[in-house]
Amino acid sequence: MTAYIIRRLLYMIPIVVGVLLITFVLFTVIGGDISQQIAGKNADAETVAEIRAEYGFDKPYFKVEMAPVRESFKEDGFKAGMKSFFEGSQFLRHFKNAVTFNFGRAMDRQKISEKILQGVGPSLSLTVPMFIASLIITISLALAVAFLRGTAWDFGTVVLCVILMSVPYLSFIIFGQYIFAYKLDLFPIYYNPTEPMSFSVILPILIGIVASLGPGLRFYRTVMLDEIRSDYVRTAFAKGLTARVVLFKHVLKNAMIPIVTNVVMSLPRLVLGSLLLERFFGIPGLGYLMVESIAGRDFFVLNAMTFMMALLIVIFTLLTDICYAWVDPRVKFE
Amino acid sequence: MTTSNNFNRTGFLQKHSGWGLLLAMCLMVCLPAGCAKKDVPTEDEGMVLRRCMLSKLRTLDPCDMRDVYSMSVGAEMYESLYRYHALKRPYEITPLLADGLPEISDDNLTYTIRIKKGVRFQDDPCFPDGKGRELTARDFVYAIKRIANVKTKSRNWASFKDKIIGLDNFRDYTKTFKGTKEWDVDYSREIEGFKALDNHTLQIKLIKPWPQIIDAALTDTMTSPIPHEAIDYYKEDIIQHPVGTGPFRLKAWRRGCYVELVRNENWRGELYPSEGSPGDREAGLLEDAGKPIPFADRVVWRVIQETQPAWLLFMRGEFDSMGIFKDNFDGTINVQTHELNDEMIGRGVALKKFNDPSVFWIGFNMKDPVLGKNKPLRKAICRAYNRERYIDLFNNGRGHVAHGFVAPGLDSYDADIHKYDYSKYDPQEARELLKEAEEVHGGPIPPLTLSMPGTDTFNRQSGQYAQRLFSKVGLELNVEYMDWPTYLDKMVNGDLQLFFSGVSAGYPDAIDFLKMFVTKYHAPNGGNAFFYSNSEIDALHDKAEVMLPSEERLELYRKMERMILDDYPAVFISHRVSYALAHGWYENYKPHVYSYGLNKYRKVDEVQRSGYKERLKELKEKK
Repeated sequence: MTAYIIRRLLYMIPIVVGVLLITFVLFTVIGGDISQQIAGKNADAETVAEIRAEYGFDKPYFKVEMAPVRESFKEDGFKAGMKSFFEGSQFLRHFKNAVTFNFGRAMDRQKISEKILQGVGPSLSLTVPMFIASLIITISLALAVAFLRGTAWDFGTVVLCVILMSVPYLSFIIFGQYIFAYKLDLFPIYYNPTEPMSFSVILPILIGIVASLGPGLRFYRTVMLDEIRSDYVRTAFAKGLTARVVLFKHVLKNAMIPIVTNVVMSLPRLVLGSLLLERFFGIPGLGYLMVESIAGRDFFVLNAMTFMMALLIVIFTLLTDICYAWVDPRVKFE
Repeated sequence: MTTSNNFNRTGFLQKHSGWGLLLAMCLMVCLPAGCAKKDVPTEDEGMVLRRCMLSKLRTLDPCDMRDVYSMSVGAEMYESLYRYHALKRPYEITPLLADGLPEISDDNLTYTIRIKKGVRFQDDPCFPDGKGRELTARDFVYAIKRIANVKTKSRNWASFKDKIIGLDNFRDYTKTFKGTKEWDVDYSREIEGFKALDNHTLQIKLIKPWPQIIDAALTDTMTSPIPHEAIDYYKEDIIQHPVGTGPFRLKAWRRGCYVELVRNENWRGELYPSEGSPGDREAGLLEDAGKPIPFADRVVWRVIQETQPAWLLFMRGEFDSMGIFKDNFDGTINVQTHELNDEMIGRGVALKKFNDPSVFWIGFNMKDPVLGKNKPLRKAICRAYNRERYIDLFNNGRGHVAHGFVAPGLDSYDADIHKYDYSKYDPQEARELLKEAEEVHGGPIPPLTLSMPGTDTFNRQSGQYAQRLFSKVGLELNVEYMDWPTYLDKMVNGDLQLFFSGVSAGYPDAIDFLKMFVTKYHAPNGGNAFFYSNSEIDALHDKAEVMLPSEERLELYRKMERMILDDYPAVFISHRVSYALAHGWYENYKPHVYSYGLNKYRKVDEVQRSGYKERLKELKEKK
């Protein structure tokens, strides 16, 4: 297993370089030089040039002019030489920023790493409870409806799922906010930093749970149905085991592979937060930051977040594979 | 990875699934509970003004402030030499940090300004003992040098280019300076045209007369003094550590979320104005005349970028005042009378309407081969556009038809401009003009492209509206929707054919509107995104820009406006009329279109505010 993990970690290197290349092409080559935008409508050419130099837009995409780099090595030493080398092209600068996790400053001059760190906590406080609660609810309900398959309960649940899936996410937010926060005054309408965040995240958590019920329940119901039709379930019932024992001890355990895949692969998204919920309820998390950066075309922040997201997905994919062996001994690493 | 047929489960989960569930439940409960700590701790509230900010605050560095919210918040902490009187209309300049109006030489080239004595910066760790030192004239010189310093990348340099003796040379020096940081520049270099004669006297020498210097520069927060100690101490982080002389100081700024100001203990104090405009006394705006200000202990802004929560919070009484969003207009205003409906009156809300000196247009790129040389085509488009309908549909009727481009409220606004028919809606005439246009073009007019500065519903509907009007007269119009930065980039580089845009006056002088049509201000180095060129207008502008306010100048402005309109460089659509709502407890509120930093005059009746929830309950029961 150790050899497998080491091999997978080594595979991550070309994947990360590939991700860096893609984000570079997306945000720098296609996104283009945004110096004019940073400088503002009335900026003169010199100000734009200054900004271009600060963000490295004045450098070639890939090719490094080696003469000044050599000179820097000679005159200012190794450290300055390396700095000059990595500043020599836009891609190398992009590469250096990513691997050192020093993404520089956003368009509003705040440090990007600071922005991201500040956003992780609020995002997690919203997404983790929402995710865990919806997971427990959907899996329990899925087991129940799978057990009651073919009955009116099952049919009604499927219809409800389709309805929930058909309602746009934004509608849940707008109606939830209007009715439960404004009309009934049960929750805060919007996050207020002078009050604890726990008050403000309850309603978005509830909305998130309701909105995720439809797709979640449909998915887990299918998974459970696949298992519940298996021979061993019939055998278990024939042996006289109770429904509770069959469902929770046998069916649930055998359905763990798709559940683990779904759960572990969802974890990176938890860090990223919820774009719409954070935006409408003012939760200052990474989802909010993402929307703001897209609207403001802040490629520096988007680039950093895309890279971090890709890195998390790569890491969690590895964790998923490890988890397979943990939950199902049939799985072996070669 | 392979799957074996081994069904011998080790049963880890079997043993530990209960623990897993428990852990999950704990996490669920603990994570929100973990955020039970307040992000911004609050003490005794005192009188608090509550504001909504619909866009995030960009910077608190005065030298780079250009957007509305940076200036709104910044002007509470930073003060300029002059300001507009809070109540008097027409707008009147009064001293703020200056001790009286400037002494101006006969040739209008030298301004001598005395500065108030005893003004202190707020206490801040950047000062040796943490105590704010006294303001001197050198702090103003430092502020202007920061704007000129290319390393600060200030958005405000355009206002000073070619205006003050020696300032452009200082900028040239910073361009050649080898370092990359603004604080490494030698700020001790003297600028002949911007000097501290002594601790409390400032002298400004101009290259040529600049009659708008006070309005355009010296009332603006960008020229507010800033102590060099603050830059030396905070360096790049000065954007979030303001050190000013104003009535408030920053207590908390959670970016994209929350801003809180508290009273600056070092502020010298001021009295509420005793004079205003006719009607101010009756409106209760002079009831606090002569009382010491500020009234409020704190000013709080919450950043809410979505309209629904912002509106709901206002209706709940969590904001003192608010504009009216398009989607909330019908539920707030009686469409027939354009006054508040009964529900809002029942809530004790007041409506303030005022002219915003702005103009919105569909601009023609005069460099475009189809439009630039075809005046009948441009005129046909102007005739094809129904402005009144646009204002009804898209602004809920909150606007005036733009017969020209100088906005109502400016002294050079020509009340008779409608007589010249530049804004006439006449599809029949448009069709006839199109025939003429086709002759000029040498064939049928190809499809035109209009660029909209956004991809939201408002922009889409506005684009579709234009498309419909164009097709009515036989013109094919494609509409491109782009995000603001892309749009801006293309607009300033002359890559758009027709573009939807607008501008608001920064001070009560129409010269900035006229500048938009002067050759030397072609984008990107100026605001002429039409790329309009007319040597006669250029010459008249050179004459007008150095003239002091007079009847002759007014006539010249009006003549230039008509000359430009005769060339049809744009479809000028509307001048905005702003509607602002204020709760009954919000006092001394008089909208001001040019000044920021007015929260020191404002106050709230806390008893009335705290009774609002009860009032809402009563209203609900009545229903």
